[in-house]
Amino acid sequence: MDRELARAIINKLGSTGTPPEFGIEAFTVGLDRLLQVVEDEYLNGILKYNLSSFKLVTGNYGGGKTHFLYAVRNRAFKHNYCVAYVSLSPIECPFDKLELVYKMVALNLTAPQETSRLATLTDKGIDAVIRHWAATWRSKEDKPERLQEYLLQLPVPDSTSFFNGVKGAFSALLAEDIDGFTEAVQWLKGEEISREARARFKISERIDKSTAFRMLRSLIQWVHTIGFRGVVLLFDEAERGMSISSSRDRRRALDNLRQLVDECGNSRLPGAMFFYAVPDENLLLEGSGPVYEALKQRLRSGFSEANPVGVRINLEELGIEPVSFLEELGRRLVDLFETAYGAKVSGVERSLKLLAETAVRGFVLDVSYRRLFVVAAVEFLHQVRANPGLVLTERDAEKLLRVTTQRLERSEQEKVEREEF
Amino acid sequence: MEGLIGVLKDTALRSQKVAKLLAGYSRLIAEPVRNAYERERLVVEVEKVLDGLAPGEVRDKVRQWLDEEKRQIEAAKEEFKFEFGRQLLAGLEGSGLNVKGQLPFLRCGLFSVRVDFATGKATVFWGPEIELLKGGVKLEPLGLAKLLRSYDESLKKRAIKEPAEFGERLFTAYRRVCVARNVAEGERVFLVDLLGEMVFLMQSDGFRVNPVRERFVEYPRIRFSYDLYLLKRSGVRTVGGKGLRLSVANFDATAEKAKALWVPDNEEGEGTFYSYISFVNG
Repeated sequence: MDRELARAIINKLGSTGTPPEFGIEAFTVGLDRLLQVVEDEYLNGILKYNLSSFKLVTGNYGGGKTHFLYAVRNRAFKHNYCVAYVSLSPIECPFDKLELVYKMVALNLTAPQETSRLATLTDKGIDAVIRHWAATWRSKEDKPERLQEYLLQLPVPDSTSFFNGVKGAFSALLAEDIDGFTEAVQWLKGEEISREARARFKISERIDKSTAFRMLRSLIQWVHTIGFRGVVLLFDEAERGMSISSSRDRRRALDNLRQLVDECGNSRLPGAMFFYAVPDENLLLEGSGPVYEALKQRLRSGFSEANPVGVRINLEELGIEPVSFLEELGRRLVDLFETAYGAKVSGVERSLKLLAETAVRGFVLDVSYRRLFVVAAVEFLHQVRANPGLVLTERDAEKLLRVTTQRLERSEQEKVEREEF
Repeated sequence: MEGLIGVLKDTALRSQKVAKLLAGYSRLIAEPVRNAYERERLVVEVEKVLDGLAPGEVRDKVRQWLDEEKRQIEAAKEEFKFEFGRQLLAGLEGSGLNVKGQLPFLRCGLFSVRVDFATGKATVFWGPEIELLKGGVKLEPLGLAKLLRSYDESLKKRAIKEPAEFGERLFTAYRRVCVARNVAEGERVFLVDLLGEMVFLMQSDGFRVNPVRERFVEYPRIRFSYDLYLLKRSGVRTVGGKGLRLSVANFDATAEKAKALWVPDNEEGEGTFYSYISFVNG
């Protein structure tokens, strides 16, 4: 790994404890077995046969859900899947509003790419995938007059308007008609376009709540027809709460989820795999409000090596003792840190072990001890860099973790307040 | 003159009240972290009384003391928060109640606890926030652990010992409801409708002769729910040759206590809402 990337990772981990979008394999611990099952059974298994699947990822806040989703994304890329990672949030993308979910999928759709480098802005979005599609077509086809023939052969997805939209964007790009490309992409991203533009591309539908699910299906079908194996959609309820609040919204969101789960397995979602990560399954499936038992029962079975058809992936049960998990994580962080700063930080093993033990013993019910450990460990490594030979006592470890908890809680509070205003 | 006397009397009264509150406060200082929330409550009271006191040296001194104390209370509350999880776990050790989740919401076996660090109170529920058991519980980890233990022990102590016998009682109650509702046996009836009949069947002869409160044996829905769980776990599926069926509740029904009952699936606190019960042939 190059130094810049390592430094960017350390910076992200040290400031918030949340994983960066890139280079996560360098500090992935305990997920290999689960990921291997996902890869063998699904990405390189049944999805190849145009089937689809849904998995619910559960784990505490700060317990590695986003990390897991990024790791799935990276494996999906290796098997030629497009991926969209969508962070669900109450305002921008609540799961009860599928039209907004579609928009975020279109904005975040990403063609397979290298994940051990810093991402750029042009890598994401349905427009980027269309560019990729056009570049691939150009590289394979030396006779541009065959374009119509090629487009005629493409199967039309559920929504003809969607098909006309992607076809229009693709053709405009090949014809170097930038305005046309932009207009078509604008519609594909769920934005309004002029009546003239709609007429030009033969788009007769709007992307709204009545069409959103069909558009999502169409997007999946389209991706499948243009040379990718399928699409992996990663929905992440990244915040402590849920993107859905009222009982009515909750019902709609759960209905959407149930529809998605039920559609998996039929041929209308070829090569699609959905992951829905929740910080607290209680918020989604149980709790004080009404409960959707029909959905709960569909999501009940646990996913594991022994039961790869199970739906629920529980990241709290990785089959590795919490302290051993953190110790291994600590070792990975040391390697990363040394790469990032080009200097050895020797003699830190005992201190990191102590930090791991203290985190597990004292903070297991608080802000996730995993995230807490990561942030505190990075801070400690910085201290050692400035003060070689520094050793943590039990008291130091506890103090460091306490200060880190306060800092993380404060930044979370600030984030909530920023969103509220 | 009269006005002056009034002011002096009021000042004396308020000063006495502040002094009394401070005396109470000094007792709390012995355990500053444990009593952080109680200290906060008293400080607010002192502040209220102080506001009515005439400006002067005494008021300024108390105000200064209050400001310093407020800072210390905040620190104590932070400390309390850090210690809370650890102490709760220690308090529940050996109880068999498995604690999961993250503060402020924890699942403790078949119970759950929502903690409010701002007010220093906790709320205890049956299941994952299914039935409120007790609100406004003082946020004291060992006390909370004791409360949870007592709920758990009481539930288990009073639970059915013979699932087959419970099944028979359930069947009797079902038949009674069928008659009362004019429904054919084998049809589904609301599970909660059986509860009243179950309660009646549990009463002693003494109660039947003279139904007074002292002779009444209560049977809260939580116990009914737990007994149904034990019945499910026991594997008893037939009663008098009839098959017991529980029908899962739909979304809307789960929000209505009269139409659905939450029944645990395991000791970890997972469960299912059921709406109907029936006993069918075969």
